[in-house]
Amino acid sequence: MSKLEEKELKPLQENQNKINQVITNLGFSVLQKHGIKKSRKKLFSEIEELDKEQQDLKKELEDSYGKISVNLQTGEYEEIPEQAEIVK
Amino acid sequence: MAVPTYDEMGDPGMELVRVARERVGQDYTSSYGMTNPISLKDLSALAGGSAGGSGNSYPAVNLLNTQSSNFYRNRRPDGSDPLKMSEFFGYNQTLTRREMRFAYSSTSSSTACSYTISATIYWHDGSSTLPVGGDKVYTTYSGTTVATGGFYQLFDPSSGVTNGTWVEVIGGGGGFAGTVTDSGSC
Repeated sequence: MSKLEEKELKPLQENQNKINQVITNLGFSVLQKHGIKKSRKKLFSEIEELDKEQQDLKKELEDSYGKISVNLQTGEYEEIPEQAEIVK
Repeated sequence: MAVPTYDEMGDPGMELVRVARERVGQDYTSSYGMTNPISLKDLSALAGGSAGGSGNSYPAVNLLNTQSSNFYRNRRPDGSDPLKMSEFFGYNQTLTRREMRFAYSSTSSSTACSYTISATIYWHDGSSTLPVGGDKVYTTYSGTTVATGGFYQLFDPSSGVTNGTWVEVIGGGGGFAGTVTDSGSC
Protein backbone atom coordinates (compact mmCIF):
# COMPACT_ATOMS: atom_id res chain seq x y z
CA MET A 1 0.00 0.00 0.00
CA SER A 2 1.22 3.51 -0.82
CA LYS A 3 1.90 5.83 2.04
CA LEU A 4 2.23 9.58 2.38
CA GLU A 5 5.42 10.96 3.60
CA GLU A 6 5.54 12.09 7.18
CA LYS A 7 5.94 15.76 6.17
CA GLU A 8 2.76 15.46 4.07
CA LEU A 9 0.74 13.54 6.59
CA LYS A 10 1.53 15.60 9.67
CA PRO A 11 -0.07 18.85 8.50
CA LEU A 12 -3.18 16.92 7.47
CA GLN A 13 -3.41 15.22 10.84
CA GLU A 14 -2.82 18.46 12.70
CA ASN A 15 -5.45 20.24 10.68
CA GLN A 16 -7.94 17.39 11.18
CA ASN A 17 -7.29 17.52 14.92
CA LYS A 18 -8.04 21.25 14.85
CA ILE A 19 -11.29 20.58 12.94
CA ASN A 20 -12.24 17.89 15.45
CA GLN A 21 -11.49 20.27 18.31
CA VAL A 22 -13.66 23.01 16.77
CA ILE A 23 -16.49 20.50 16.25
CA THR A 24 -16.16 19.43 19.87
CA ASN A 25 -16.21 23.07 21.00
CA LEU A 26 -19.24 23.70 18.81
CA GLY A 27 -20.94 20.74 20.43
CA PHE A 28 -20.14 22.11 23.88
CA SER A 29 -21.45 25.57 22.96
CA VAL A 30 -24.69 24.08 21.60
CA LEU A 31 -25.09 22.07 24.78
CA GLN A 32 -24.28 25.14 26.88
CA LYS A 33 -26.80 27.27 24.95
CA HIS A 34 -29.39 24.54 25.33
CA GLY A 35 -28.59 24.43 29.04
CA ILE A 36 -29.01 28.20 29.38
CA LYS A 37 -32.24 28.07 27.39
CA LYS A 38 -33.49 25.24 29.59
CA SER A 39 -32.53 27.00 32.78
CA ARG A 40 -34.15 30.27 31.59
CA LYS A 41 -37.30 28.35 30.73
CA LYS A 42 -37.22 26.73 34.16
CA LEU A 43 -36.78 30.12 35.86
CA PHE A 44 -39.64 31.65 33.87
CA SER A 45 -41.86 28.75 34.80
CA GLU A 46 -40.74 29.10 38.44
CA ILE A 47 -41.66 32.82 38.41
CA GLU A 48 -45.04 31.97 36.90
CA GLU A 49 -45.70 29.38 39.59
CA LEU A 50 -44.62 31.72 42.40
CA ASP A 51 -46.71 34.53 40.94
CA LYS A 52 -49.76 32.26 40.81
CA GLU A 53 -49.05 31.11 44.36
CA GLN A 54 -48.81 34.75 45.46
CA GLN A 55 -52.14 35.49 43.83
CA ASP A 56 -53.71 32.46 45.53
CA LEU A 57 -52.33 33.59 48.90
CA LYS A 58 -53.87 37.04 48.38
CA LYS A 59 -57.19 35.43 47.50
CA GLU A 60 -57.01 33.44 50.72
CA LEU A 61 -56.35 36.70 52.59
CA GLU A 62 -59.43 38.21 50.96
CA ASP A 63 -61.46 35.29 52.30
CA SER A 64 -60.43 36.35 55.79
CA TYR A 65 -60.21 40.14 55.49
CA GLY A 66 -62.40 40.97 52.49
CA LYS A 67 -61.07 42.96 49.55
CA ILE A 68 -57.82 44.61 50.62
CA SER A 69 -54.60 46.24 49.45
CA VAL A 70 -51.48 45.25 51.40
CA ASN A 71 -48.08 46.83 52.05
CA LEU A 72 -45.72 43.84 51.95
CA GLN A 73 -42.96 45.68 53.86
CA THR A 74 -45.04 46.67 56.87
CA GLY A 75 -48.01 44.30 56.70
CA GLU A 76 -50.37 47.25 56.77
CA TYR A 77 -53.50 46.80 54.74
CA GLU A 78 -56.51 48.84 53.69
CA GLU A 79 -59.97 47.69 52.82
CA ILE A 80 -61.33 48.39 49.36
CA PRO A 81 -64.88 49.53 50.00
CA GLU A 82 -67.64 48.82 47.52
CA GLN A 83 -69.35 51.84 46.05
CA ALA A 84 -73.14 51.96 46.07
CA GLU A 85 -74.91 50.82 42.91
CA ILE A 86 -75.63 53.59 40.43
CA VAL A 87 -79.26 53.54 39.39
CA LYS A 88 -79.62 54.50 35.74
CA MET B 1 -71.40 34.70 31.50
CA ALA B 2 -67.94 34.45 30.01
CA VAL B 3 -65.80 31.32 29.88
CA PRO B 4 -64.88 30.59 33.52
CA THR B 5 -61.35 31.52 34.56
CA TYR B 6 -58.80 28.84 35.44
CA ASP B 7 -59.70 29.24 39.12
CA GLU B 8 -63.45 29.13 38.50
CA MET B 9 -63.40 26.15 36.15
CA GLY B 10 -64.64 22.94 37.72
CA ASP B 11 -65.63 19.57 36.26
CA PRO B 12 -66.16 18.71 33.47
CA GLY B 13 -63.56 21.30 32.48
CA MET B 14 -63.60 23.48 29.43
CA GLU B 15 -65.76 22.21 26.59
CA LEU B 16 -65.08 23.05 22.95
CA VAL B 17 -68.76 23.48 22.06
CA ARG B 18 -69.23 25.88 24.97
CA VAL B 19 -66.22 27.95 23.94
CA ALA B 20 -67.76 28.02 20.44
CA ARG B 21 -71.05 29.29 21.90
CA GLU B 22 -69.18 32.05 23.69
CA ARG B 23 -67.30 32.89 20.48
CA VAL B 24 -70.52 33.43 18.52
CA GLY B 25 -71.71 35.80 21.24
CA GLN B 26 -73.98 33.35 23.03
CA ASP B 27 -73.39 32.42 26.60
CA TYR B 28 -70.75 29.81 27.55
CA THR B 29 -73.42 28.07 29.62
CA SER B 30 -76.23 28.40 27.05
CA SER B 31 -77.56 25.53 24.94
CA TYR B 32 -77.32 27.51 21.71
CA GLY B 33 -77.13 25.13 18.73
CA MET B 34 -73.75 25.08 16.99
CA THR B 35 -73.07 23.53 13.58
CA ASN B 36 -70.34 20.91 13.45
CA PRO B 37 -67.46 20.74 12.87
CA ILE B 38 -65.99 23.16 15.36
CA SER B 39 -62.41 24.09 14.57
CA LEU B 40 -60.09 25.35 17.28
CA LYS B 41 -58.25 27.13 14.47
CA ASP B 42 -61.35 29.20 13.69
CA LEU B 43 -62.16 29.79 17.36
CA SER B 44 -58.62 31.11 17.83
CA ALA B 45 -58.37 33.18 14.64
CA LEU B 46 -58.25 36.82 15.70
CA ALA B 47 -60.19 37.88 12.61
CA GLY B 48 -62.73 35.09 13.06
CA GLY B 49 -64.29 33.34 10.04
CA SER B 50 -64.54 29.70 9.05
CA ALA B 51 -61.37 29.14 7.02
CA GLY B 52 -60.47 26.20 9.25
CA GLY B 53 -63.56 24.32 8.08
CA SER B 54 -66.00 25.20 10.86
CA GLY B 55 -69.74 24.84 10.42
CA ASN B 56 -70.19 28.33 11.83
CA SER B 57 -68.43 31.53 10.86
CA TYR B 58 -67.05 33.17 13.98
CA PRO B 59 -66.83 36.89 14.67
CA ALA B 60 -63.47 38.49 15.41
CA VAL B 61 -61.91 37.74 18.79
CA ASN B 62 -62.79 40.45 21.31
CA LEU B 63 -59.45 42.11 21.92
CA LEU B 64 -60.63 43.84 25.09
CA ASN B 65 -59.90 40.54 26.85
CA THR B 66 -56.41 40.54 28.36
CA GLN B 67 -53.77 38.67 26.38
CA SER B 68 -50.85 37.36 28.38
CA SER B 69 -48.14 34.73 28.00
CA ASN B 70 -48.95 33.88 31.59
CA PHE B 71 -51.77 31.35 31.29
CA TYR B 72 -53.72 32.35 34.38
CA ARG B 73 -53.62 36.05 33.51
CA ASN B 74 -54.56 35.36 29.89
CA ARG B 75 -58.20 35.67 28.79
CA ARG B 76 -58.02 35.29 25.03
CA PRO B 77 -56.20 33.44 22.23
CA ASP B 78 -53.13 35.12 20.76
CA GLY B 79 -53.98 33.90 17.26
CA SER B 80 -50.73 31.98 16.77
CA ASP B 81 -49.56 28.38 16.98
CA PRO B 82 -49.58 26.33 19.09
CA LEU B 83 -53.32 26.74 19.54
CA LYS B 84 -54.45 25.95 23.07
CA MET B 85 -57.86 25.48 24.65
CA SER B 86 -56.38 26.97 27.82
CA GLU B 87 -56.13 30.32 26.03
CA PHE B 88 -59.89 30.69 26.49
CA PHE B 89 -59.97 30.68 30.29
CA GLY B 90 -61.95 33.81 31.22
CA TYR B 91 -62.74 34.78 27.62
CA ASN B 92 -65.78 37.00 27.10
CA GLN B 93 -67.01 37.64 23.55
CA THR B 94 -69.29 40.52 24.55
CA LEU B 95 -66.86 42.25 26.90
CA THR B 96 -67.10 46.05 26.72
CA ARG B 97 -64.60 46.94 29.46
CA ARG B 98 -60.92 46.37 30.11
CA GLU B 99 -59.48 44.62 33.13
CA MET B 100 -57.86 46.91 35.70
CA ARG B 101 -55.35 45.56 38.23
CA PHE B 102 -54.58 47.85 41.12
CA ALA B 103 -53.73 48.59 44.73
CA TYR B 104 -56.08 50.96 46.53
CA SER B 105 -55.73 53.67 49.13
CA SER B 106 -58.42 56.03 50.35
CA THR B 107 -55.85 58.53 51.61
CA SER B 108 -53.02 59.20 49.15
CA SER B 109 -51.30 58.20 45.95
CA SER B 110 -48.07 57.46 47.84
CA THR B 111 -49.88 55.01 50.11
CA ALA B 112 -51.50 53.34 47.09
CA CYS B 113 -48.05 53.10 45.53
CA SER B 114 -46.68 51.38 48.66
CA TYR B 115 -49.16 48.50 48.32
CA THR B 116 -48.76 45.31 46.34
CA ILE B 117 -51.21 44.31 43.61
CA SER B 118 -54.60 43.33 45.01
CA ALA B 119 -56.31 40.06 44.12
CA THR B 120 -59.44 42.07 43.33
CA ILE B 121 -60.06 42.92 39.68
CA TYR B 122 -61.89 46.06 38.52
CA TRP B 123 -62.88 47.06 34.99
CA HIS B 124 -62.72 50.35 33.10
CA ASP B 125 -64.43 51.66 29.99
CA GLY B 126 -61.40 53.42 28.47
CA SER B 127 -59.83 52.72 25.11
CA SER B 128 -56.30 52.15 26.45
CA THR B 129 -54.94 49.23 28.44
CA LEU B 130 -54.83 51.38 31.57
CA PRO B 131 -57.51 53.90 32.60
CA VAL B 132 -56.87 57.59 31.96
CA GLY B 133 -58.67 60.81 32.83
CA GLY B 134 -62.38 60.66 32.02
CA ASP B 135 -62.57 56.86 31.99
CA LYS B 136 -64.98 55.22 34.39
CA VAL B 137 -63.99 52.36 36.67
CA TYR B 138 -66.45 49.60 37.58
CA THR B 139 -66.24 46.78 40.08
CA THR B 140 -67.48 44.20 37.56
CA TYR B 141 -67.21 43.72 33.81
CA SER B 142 -70.91 44.29 33.19
CA GLY B 143 -72.56 45.78 36.30
CA THR B 144 -73.16 49.42 37.18
CA THR B 145 -71.37 49.55 40.52
CA VAL B 146 -68.46 51.93 40.21
CA ALA B 147 -65.13 51.95 42.03
CA THR B 148 -65.04 53.80 45.30
CA GLY B 149 -63.30 57.18 45.44
CA GLY B 150 -59.58 57.15 46.19
CA PHE B 151 -56.16 56.46 44.76
CA TYR B 152 -55.29 53.45 42.65
CA GLN B 153 -51.78 52.31 41.79
CA LEU B 154 -51.99 50.68 38.34
CA PHE B 155 -50.54 47.32 37.32
CA ASP B 156 -50.24 45.83 33.86
CA PRO B 157 -53.05 43.24 33.69
CA SER B 158 -51.07 40.95 31.40
CA SER B 159 -48.02 40.71 33.69
CA GLY B 160 -49.17 41.88 37.11
CA VAL B 161 -46.17 44.23 37.20
CA THR B 162 -46.66 47.80 38.39
CA ASN B 163 -46.94 50.47 35.73
CA GLY B 164 -45.37 52.96 38.14
CA THR B 165 -48.39 55.23 37.93
CA TRP B 166 -51.54 55.97 39.90
CA VAL B 167 -54.95 57.42 39.13
CA GLU B 168 -57.46 59.15 41.37
CA VAL B 169 -61.09 58.12 41.10
CA ILE B 170 -63.82 60.46 42.25
CA GLY B 171 -66.30 59.11 44.78
CA GLY B 172 -69.75 60.17 45.85
CA GLY B 173 -73.09 59.20 44.42
CA GLY B 174 -73.32 61.52 41.43
CA GLY B 175 -73.03 60.73 37.77
CA PHE B 176 -69.27 61.31 37.82
CA ALA B 177 -68.68 58.79 40.59
CA GLY B 178 -66.09 56.22 39.53
CA THR B 179 -64.48 58.56 36.98
CA VAL B 180 -60.71 59.03 36.78
CA THR B 181 -59.97 62.67 37.55
CA ASP B 182 -56.22 62.76 38.13
CA SER B 183 -53.09 60.70 37.58
CA GLY B 184 -49.37 60.72 38.30
CA SER B 185 -46.19 58.70 38.78
CA CYS B 186 -45.46 56.66 41.87
